[in-house]
This record gives sequence, structure tokens and C-alpha cells, in this order.
Amino acid sequence: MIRQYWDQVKRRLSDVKLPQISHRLDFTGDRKVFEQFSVLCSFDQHLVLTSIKANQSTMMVDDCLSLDLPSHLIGDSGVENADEVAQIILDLMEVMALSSSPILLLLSSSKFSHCSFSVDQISSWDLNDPKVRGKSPFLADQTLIDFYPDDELFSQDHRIRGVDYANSRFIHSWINTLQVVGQPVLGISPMYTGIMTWASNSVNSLKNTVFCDVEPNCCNLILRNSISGFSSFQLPFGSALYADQSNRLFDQFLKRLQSSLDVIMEDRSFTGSFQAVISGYGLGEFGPSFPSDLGSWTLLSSLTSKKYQISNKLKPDELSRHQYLFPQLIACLYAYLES
Amino acid sequence: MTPINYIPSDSGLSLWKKQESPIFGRVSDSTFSSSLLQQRYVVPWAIAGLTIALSWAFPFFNNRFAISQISNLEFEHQQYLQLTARISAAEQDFEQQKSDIRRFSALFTSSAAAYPFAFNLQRSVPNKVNLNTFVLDNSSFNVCAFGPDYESLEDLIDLLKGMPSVDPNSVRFSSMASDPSALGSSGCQSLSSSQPVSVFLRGKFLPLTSSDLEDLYSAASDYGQYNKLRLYNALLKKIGGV
Repeated sequence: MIRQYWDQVKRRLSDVKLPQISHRLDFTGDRKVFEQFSVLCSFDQHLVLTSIKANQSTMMVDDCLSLDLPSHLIGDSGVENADEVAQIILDLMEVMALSSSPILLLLSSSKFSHCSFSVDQISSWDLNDPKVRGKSPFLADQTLIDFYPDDELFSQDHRIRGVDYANSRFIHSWINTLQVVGQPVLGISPMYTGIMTWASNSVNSLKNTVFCDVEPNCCNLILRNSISGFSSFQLPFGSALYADQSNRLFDQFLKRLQSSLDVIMEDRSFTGSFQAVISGYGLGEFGPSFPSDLGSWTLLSSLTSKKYQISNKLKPDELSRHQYLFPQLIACLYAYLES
Repeated sequence: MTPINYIPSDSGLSLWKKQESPIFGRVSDSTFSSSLLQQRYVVPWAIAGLTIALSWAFPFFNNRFAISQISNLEFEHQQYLQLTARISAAEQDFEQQKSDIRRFSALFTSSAAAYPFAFNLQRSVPNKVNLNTFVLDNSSFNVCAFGPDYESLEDLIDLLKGMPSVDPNSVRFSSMASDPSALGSSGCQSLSSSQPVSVFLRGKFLPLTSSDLEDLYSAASDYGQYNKLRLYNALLKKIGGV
């Protein structure tokens, strides 16, 4: 009788959306101590705010909300109205009870470019080195450069060093937005930074890896060769072209992706076997037609599933739309927390 | 390895620092903290333990507090008991003394009317009348008087009735005779108003209080008794009368 009454109380508490009282009183559940993070992603005009609880052993995707913003707020070159976008982000954080959580901003991989240099090629790792700047896809005075690994971790043992490029106007527009938001910030990173850290760990460091980050309008490939390091490539098609209710279109997407990858491999003279990993927000657009067999590709979620779990309170539509994005978010947050 | 991060050092943003995090900071790196925080049973068991400890500690300290309060008040309570016992003993003693003082009134009033009566009698006997004998006791008197005629004896009787300590209604002739030797005989004699007469008179004293006696002694000029009675009456008045 007491149990029935207790269940009734918990049900009522959860119905009226009290701030997690029913969960806090649930001593039978998993009561680990977590820190809550706000992971903010932006793909063109699509803004996704995800609440992730993390501690030293596990992570939990707690909640997720997404919005499509008009182009006068977020355009091709970044945030057009920092105050307005910051207010929208603050509203989302308040709705998700993230008002005091630190923010990790992850931006579309298509806005960045990555290449690696042999240590022998570069005499001094200077941001103004013409060889380094020469690989930037952006105008020289609008290029931001970040070395990977950074200066603190770079040592004589490294034979290869990565260089990442971003548009300075794009990055500064987001910095201005985060300044208005006013919360502590973990970092501003490309979406592929998590997979690069994952591929560099001791287990995967000897493997050749290709990672495909699928977005609605493009596919971003990150190739890691144990000899030549990381390189990024962008393919001019995304899931939006192939999103349909039939598996046939998804097969065509995979075929086109594979043929593009083969061209790049041949062009770069990459040989040997590669571990092919695929993920990305764009895969969610395939909806229920998403097949279980992806051929040579492996979903990132199947590789990182032990590291995180998804909360029951996540809305089904948000879960189905972003389920292939969450592994990337987890990998990026994990990279920051482990650094 | 540090992830790619485009936040410049002079961005003005407040940065999240891992060292300051309660979960990922240096404090939680220690085995004790992390193992403690990650155990699901620690908090419920800690609450249960705290509840048990408080359920014992609260009555214990409450009891100790009550005991200390009792021990603090015990000395004063004993003092109070002693004082009340002394006060009640003093009150009993006082009542006893008042009772004794009231009983003293018998010493003043017993046989007290004799002297004022004798004093007044000798001053009020008419010139022609002679007193043969007079006998006084606690409450009455007997007087044997001899006069040249009946009228002079009537004056004596009026004077006796007018004495302050004598009950006027109790004054009686017990016998009367023209020959003193015939007094006390049962025979009847005829008397003329001009014949000498002997007479036995008797009467009773009024029941006297100490305040009445005070006036009597004053009138009888017995100032020794008067002063004693005055002090006694004043004392009696202070303790509430008889």
C-alpha cells in the first residue's frame, strides 16, 4: 500500500514538472554526482542546445532543444545579430534549467579546414609562416589558425603537426554572442575535434581512420593516416538531397560517398585499410528509412555507446532527429574533459 | 590531447576551468572523493546514520539539559523548603505567644473587682452608717451594716447600686433587724422608721474585662495596676484583641 502511494506521489510530481524532486527522492536509482554542461551546436541556421550531465565515469544526454533561425540572425558568415541570438540562447537555457551551466560551442565542420604538415616542412611554427598560411581556404587577413597539438603538448617526438583554419569573422561573431550570454565557456571548436581526439588515443592511434560528418548540405571527411596525419575534405552533397522515405536513396548516398572517398584516396595515394566511421546531424534526416547495414561504414554511436546514455525524458522527435549528432557531442565534450 | 579551440586568450570570455570544477577538479581526483561521490549508497546511508544518531543524541542532550537545570535549581529549592519551615515554626510560635498573652487576661480579671469595690465602699458609706463586716469573693459581696435609721441604710443601698463594678439588679437584702443580735434569726419583727437597723446586704460584681478594669483602677487611684493593665491592653489590641 505504501509503495502504491509512493508511486502515485512520484507520478504526480513528474506530471506537474517540479524541478526533479521525484528523481532526487528516488534512492533506488543511480544516484551519481554529475556536472551539467550546455553543448551548443550550429549548422547553418539550425541551432541545437543539448544538456549533457557528466562525471568521471559516464555521460548522459539529458535534454535537447533545436531551433531554425532566420538568416538575419545567423547567416553564412556567422552570427548577424549577436544580441538577439544570445537572448534566444539564454531563453533556451532557462527553459532547460541550464542557467548556470558552462557552454561548449561546436560549429559546423564545413566552416573549418584541417591539414597536416610534416615537421621537416616547417622551420618555425609561426602563425605568420607563409607555408602554413598558404593552405588556408580563407582570405589571409580573415584566417584564424590553431595548431594541433598545441604548443604546450607539441614536442620533438612529433613528426606531424596538424593546422586548423577558421574564418576570423565567423569565430568572432560567435565570441561576441557568448560574451552577451555571459556563461563560462569550455571552448569554440569544429564538430570534428572530438573524433580527432578519439582517433588519437592509444587504442586507435595506429589505425588509419576516415570519419564522415554528414550535414544536410555537405559531407565533411576527416582522414587520418598514421603517416601523414589528419586532413579534412568537403563533399558538395549532404543528406538533404537524399532524405526520403526509401532505402534506395540512402544506398545511392552511400555509393556516392564511397566513390568520392575513393577518388580522394587515389588522389592522395592513400593505401591500406581504413576504419570508416560515420555520424552527423544529417543522418537524422533519413528518418525511419535509415538502414541497419551501412556496408563498410560504422556508426560512431556503436563505437562510443559505452560512454554515454540517453535520458528517458528526451522528446521522441528530438531524439530521432539528433540521435546521430549526440555521439559527436559526447566525443567533443569528452575531449575537453579529458584534456 | 587538447582539442582544437578557437577562443583567443584575450577574448574577454569567462572560461570554464577544469581545476575549479567540483566533479572534475583536483579535489575530486583523489580516490577518496571520487569513490565517495560515485557510490550510490553513501548518501542514503549517511542520512540514515545521521537520523539514528540524532534520534539518540537529541533525547540524550535534552535529558542532560534537564538534569543540569534540576541540579542548578535544587539548592534554591532546599533553601526555600528550609525558609518556609522556619516561617511556619515562627508563625506557630507567634500564635502560641498571642494565645498565652490572651490567657493572661484571667490573671488580671480574676478577683480584680475586690479592691476597687473596697476603695469605693469606704468612700461612699454614709456618715451615720457603720460597717460591721464585709466579705468579698471573686464574684459577690456580703456587707453587714448598722445605721441609726432605715433611710440612712437606703442611701447605702443606692450608693452600692451606683458603684461601677456592681450589678445593680443583684443587690439584695438577705436580712434586716433592729437588734443586731437578732440578725440571722428566722423570726419576724416589726420596725419603725426611727429605730436603729442592722442589715445584711449581698450583691454580685459585674463581669469585668481588662479594659473595664483599667478605668476602675484609674478611678481607684491604683496606678501600679493601672500601668500594668494599660500596657497589657495595648499589647492585646496589637495582637487583635481577646
